[in-house]
Amino acid sequence: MKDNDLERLLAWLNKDDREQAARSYENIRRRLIRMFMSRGCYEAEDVADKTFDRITSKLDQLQNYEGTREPYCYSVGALVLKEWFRHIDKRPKQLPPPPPDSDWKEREQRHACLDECMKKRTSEDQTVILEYYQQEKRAKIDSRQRLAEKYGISLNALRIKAFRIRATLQECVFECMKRNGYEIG
Amino acid sequence: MNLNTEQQSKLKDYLLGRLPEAELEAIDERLVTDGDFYEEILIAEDELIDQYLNKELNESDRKSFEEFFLISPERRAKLQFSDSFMSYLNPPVPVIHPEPDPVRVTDQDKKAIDRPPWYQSFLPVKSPALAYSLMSAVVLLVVAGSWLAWSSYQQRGVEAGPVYTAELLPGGPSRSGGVEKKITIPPGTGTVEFKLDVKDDGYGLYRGVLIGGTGAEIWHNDNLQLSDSAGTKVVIARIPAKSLPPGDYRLRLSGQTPPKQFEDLATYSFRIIS
Repeated sequence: MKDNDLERLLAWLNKDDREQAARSYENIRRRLIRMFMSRGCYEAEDVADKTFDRITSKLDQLQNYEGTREPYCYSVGALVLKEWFRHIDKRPKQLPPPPPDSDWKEREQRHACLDECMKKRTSEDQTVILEYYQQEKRAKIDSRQRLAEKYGISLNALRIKAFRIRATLQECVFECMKRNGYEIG
Repeated sequence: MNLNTEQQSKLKDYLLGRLPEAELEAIDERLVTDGDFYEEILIAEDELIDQYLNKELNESDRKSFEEFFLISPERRAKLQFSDSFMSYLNPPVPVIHPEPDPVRVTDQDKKAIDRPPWYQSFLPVKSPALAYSLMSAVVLLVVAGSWLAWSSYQQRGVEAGPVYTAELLPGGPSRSGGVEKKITIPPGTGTVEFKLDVKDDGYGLYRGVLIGGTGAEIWHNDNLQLSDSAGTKVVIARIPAKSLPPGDYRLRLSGQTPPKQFEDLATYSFRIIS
């Protein structure tokens, strides 16, 4: 997408606040990618880009559009996804790749990155992660209950809290792996 | 966001590509328009990955997970991260070698400190320089002897109790087929002796690394040697039976090349069943 087109798109997403518009763009893009992925599309990022290209090409007609932007983006995304499916039906079928199995060096590097990223977390985050993701089944249930009581939150709130810490760790590890020369995804 | 059991089950089907077409649209639209629901999908993905890694998915879910869910590179990267994350948080129980008790110095010990060392009475010479040289030689001999004994123990790796032998061929089950080696260890077995069929016999020493289902290292030995078993070249790896609870395993074999580098040779996959 050209710079000028991106600016027009951002202005359509939020004409008063460019930063907010940029955040909206990122959020919608991420969610579209997830939707495409969940429908079995292995070129989700490309399809998301095509969706925004399609929206940008219609911006002149959208100047009087009053509704919230997400449902509109969804409907265009759904259409572009259908086109993608029609398109790949004509290609030779690809077998899905086997589950990934990284080599020893890569695993060791990932452990080193995890170590580094874990140390950056607060001790409270470390405790939550360590206790929440215990593997032994009975211990896991008990320690999650204890942990939720300790923080005075529901089990579901604890689940979300643990997920957010894990997601931050994952992002940190991916960054660390890239710094050490590994491709992610 | 609090989803009930039915909604969670629907999300799982959605992620595994098994939701009927008629129900897809509603979830798709909600995913894009509702931030909390989007986060719920990400959490459900993590939980599905954990179930896969912990072998908690049934055969059909597992198949859908591998053939549908893992189609995107991002999710494949997430799986690798989660695998490392789980083994980082739940490392395998290490084999504990007994440490000597820390020395406690009593008053009696303190008095003894000023006495000449006990070994001086056995030494034929009174010169401290010569005496220490002799003692050093004795210590060196003891260390060398212990090292040889340890090395030999490592090589044998035999635990108390009967030895059960299993022969393994490189490879294992794969998407394109292959037979999974299933092993039932008889009760009371002390050691399982794996005979690893090898094609590359040009190495002085071999390294075996046993990896469990979560990817964590369970056992390794850098001093394995080539043997002959009924005309077949095999490397023998002896692993304590107590380290092999039911589950899936991979034994990675590499050969040592000068100077002390190891080259990957083969992986042997098997399942221990109770």
